[in-house]
Amino acid sequence: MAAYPTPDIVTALAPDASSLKAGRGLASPGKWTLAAGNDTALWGLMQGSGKDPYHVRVLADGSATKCSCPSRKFPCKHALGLLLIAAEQPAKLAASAPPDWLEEWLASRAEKTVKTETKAAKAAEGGPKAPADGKAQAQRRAKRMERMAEGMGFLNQWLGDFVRQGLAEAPVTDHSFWENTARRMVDAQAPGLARRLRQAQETALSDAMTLDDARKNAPRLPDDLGRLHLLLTAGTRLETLDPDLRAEVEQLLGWTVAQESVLSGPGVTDRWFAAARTVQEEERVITAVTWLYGAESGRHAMWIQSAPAQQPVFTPLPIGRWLKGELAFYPGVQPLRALWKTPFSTTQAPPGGVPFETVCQVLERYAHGLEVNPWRTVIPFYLHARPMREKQGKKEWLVDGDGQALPVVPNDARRQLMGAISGGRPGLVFGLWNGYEVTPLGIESETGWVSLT
Amino acid sequence: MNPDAFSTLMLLGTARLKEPPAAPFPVLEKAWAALDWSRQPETAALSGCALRAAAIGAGWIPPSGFAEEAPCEPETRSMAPDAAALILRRILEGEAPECLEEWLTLCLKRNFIVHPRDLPPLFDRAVRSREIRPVIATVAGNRGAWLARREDLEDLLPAPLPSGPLEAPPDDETWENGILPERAFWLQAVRRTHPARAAAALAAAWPQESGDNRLAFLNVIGDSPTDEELPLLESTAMKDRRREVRQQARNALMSRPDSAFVKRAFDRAAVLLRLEKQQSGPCLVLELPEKFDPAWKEDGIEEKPPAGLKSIGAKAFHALQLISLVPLSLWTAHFGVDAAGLLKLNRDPDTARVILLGWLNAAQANPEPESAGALALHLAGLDRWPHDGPPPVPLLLRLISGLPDKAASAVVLAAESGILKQGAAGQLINASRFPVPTEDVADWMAVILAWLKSQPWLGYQSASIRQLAQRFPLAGLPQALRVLSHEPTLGSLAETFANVLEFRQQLHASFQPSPPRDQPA
Repeated sequence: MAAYPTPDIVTALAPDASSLKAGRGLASPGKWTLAAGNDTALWGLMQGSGKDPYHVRVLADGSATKCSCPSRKFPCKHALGLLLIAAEQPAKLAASAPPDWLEEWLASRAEKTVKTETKAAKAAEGGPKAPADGKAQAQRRAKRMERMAEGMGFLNQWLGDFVRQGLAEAPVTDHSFWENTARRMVDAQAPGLARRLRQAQETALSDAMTLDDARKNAPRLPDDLGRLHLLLTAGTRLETLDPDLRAEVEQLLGWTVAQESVLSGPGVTDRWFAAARTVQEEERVITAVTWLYGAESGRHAMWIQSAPAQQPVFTPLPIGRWLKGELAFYPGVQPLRALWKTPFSTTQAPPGGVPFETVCQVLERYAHGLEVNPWRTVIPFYLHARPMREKQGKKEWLVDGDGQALPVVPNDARRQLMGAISGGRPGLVFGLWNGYEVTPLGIESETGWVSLT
Repeated sequence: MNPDAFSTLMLLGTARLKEPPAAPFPVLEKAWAALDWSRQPETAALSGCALRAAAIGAGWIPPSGFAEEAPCEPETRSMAPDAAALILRRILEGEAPECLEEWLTLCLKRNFIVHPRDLPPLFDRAVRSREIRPVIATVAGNRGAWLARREDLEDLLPAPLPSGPLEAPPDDETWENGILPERAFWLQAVRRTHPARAAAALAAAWPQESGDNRLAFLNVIGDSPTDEELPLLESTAMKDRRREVRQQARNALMSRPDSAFVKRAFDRAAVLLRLEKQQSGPCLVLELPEKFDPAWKEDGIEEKPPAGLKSIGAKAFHALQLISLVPLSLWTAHFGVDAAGLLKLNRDPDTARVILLGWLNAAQANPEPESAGALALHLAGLDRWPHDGPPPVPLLLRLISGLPDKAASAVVLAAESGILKQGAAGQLINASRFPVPTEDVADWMAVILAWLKSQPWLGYQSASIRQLAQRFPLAGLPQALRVLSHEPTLGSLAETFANVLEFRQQLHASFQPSPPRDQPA
């Protein structure tokens, strides 16, 4: 029997709630002219408003879909409906011979994969492509550097005024206080600095709202300001930095690295465990971050996809599954951000599954990370731990096998869910450590991996 | 704990800097010494922030020595099948919230427990809905009990089912000192097990009770007063200074044909209503009373008709009230016919409406199972609703309230295609609550479709159409869906109706073991 995605995975694949709902409406075999599947793919015919039925093709693991309907959502409701039938009622799928239109699609996918791999191999041999017009590009870069320098100068001055005045006096919980400066950074073509300012605003708000006495006495906003100051300092000395650090700082300031450039670099082929996906909306842009872990390389990776909020289009990726593929990492210091260099496909879990660390190992790795990259304030980790609730204060901790613990972010819904799944027993937990608290994003349950996002 | 000097400086600002602050951590002392506080205090402060942030991040010392928290006991029951768990998730995410109770009941019936990951949202529902707490407590399993303890939600989950009815009556302290709902609950429980004790307690407390309390206690008595309660109702409650209390006592007494009140009422009405042999057959003739007897007042009979009642004269009004106090069963016994036969009897045209209105009032106050069905069917088949009669939908609802589902269904179908068709279509369907009998599904679908087609603009009734879909029997779901599938187009309400039916079908199927899948080619 084919390893069709579970209903949870199909749910995670849906681009939005309305598509999922529409897909659920089609998850009944009776509504399909044809709904069939084999170990490789699912295919179906669904009568739409037009004369001809829509031809729906889906890879058996749900990692790729194609439908002849005009929907711009991906996967469309028809593909979701077919996947849901496979997930919930696989026995209802017809076992007919694959039609030509499916075979053609599978063949074209295979051809495309070969082409991509060849292209990547060629690019790796020949190195990055030379810019079409090096001089013009250099001029544009110089001009941008100038504007960014102006912006950084302004921000430096603003920070100085802020610190001179004192945090208690400044309207730190006022949105416009941060947003006006953030917009100036956007105008100065330094969106990375704008992002940092908005993060600082969030920190200021949570400092103001905290009920934790320790945090009241030691607010976290100065930490954000210190790192921002450090980034501005590094930004003015780019030439003195080593290439990796320079690439890191440039990206933090807001320079983008062309995907072609990333893809032309060396890749890491591995079996990647997709642990969690977080979705965030900022400035009318939705950003989905998928956290991956390579079994052989031992590397963590984050695959970021962005799309306008009105039309979120994300390539689906099944959470809780192992994927085989090659990732190309962005330049930087111990980079996490990566792109798929080749199309991924689901694969078997390696023996032993995901290795986990102890609390001490996580903290040690965090400290070493800060040493080489002081702006890397969040690291992913896997712990074999049990959630523990303090009797007094009700603070939640993740306690590892050595009895050492990390505090969990005070978010009731996630904490309660983690507690419910664990039942107080130790198990594999995936989370992010930010130097203060753990944000748990996934946990292993008796019936499989559960995303906490 | 007070903030350190550096944190204080950051709060107050470097403009107030008097002397350089000490490093917040000893590990930073060396780097701290390089900061230039005299010439560039802002830069020094910001650099100090960066140093402190790095020290906090890199120097975090994990606490240890946590006390062991007892893990959850192993489960003794199996988890609901994955497909059923998925359905539950869809319900909890808001797709079909009205199906939650059905899911929980099925889970309980099949002796399954819910998946642990579904416990938090289920607990959220328990916070909002008291009725489902006992079932949730049961299907939550050991994990649920453990989680409830951990989250301080034990009060939310009562003892798991089956708990059965109360064997021992609640503490008398509740009756003496409880708040009104607690006292009403006490009365309800004690009436079941110790009726004499309940009646004595109520009689003793009656003089001190407020009108609201008396009414609440009479509501508990409802239309099933015990023998022990009759004296209180007849001698005290019927003379209460509050009209609603007297009315409620009268309604309660009407359910007891053996009460002195009903006997008295019948004696008065029986001399007015007689069966005469006429050329066209037996005919009920009502002789209007000549004058108002002041003794009637004690039984709540009014002398003057209310201002709004203009179609009935004073004498007819007196007769109407006298008949209204007599349960139909006494008339059927008196005339030797059953309820259907009584309603078929010819009535003197001059007073036919008064007789019928009297019977309607009597049935509304006390719907007797043996006559309510016949009366409701009779009303459902009328061409016109009796002028000055009680509103049809509430009356029909009252009449069918004690009927078996099949009989109630017959009334609803007859009324929806009869007396309610013009002007009140769908109202009785919506307001009734009994499950639709399987054999009536086709008829219900015909009536519902006709109603939805005639009033497609009633979008606000989405909630009631969802409730209606809940009342369809499992065995009738395929038939109902088949009927809907034959419709060329479905309005949004019909679509909602179909979706809930389909969802329920999936819900029940999800608890079945999955058949083995055919091998694909």
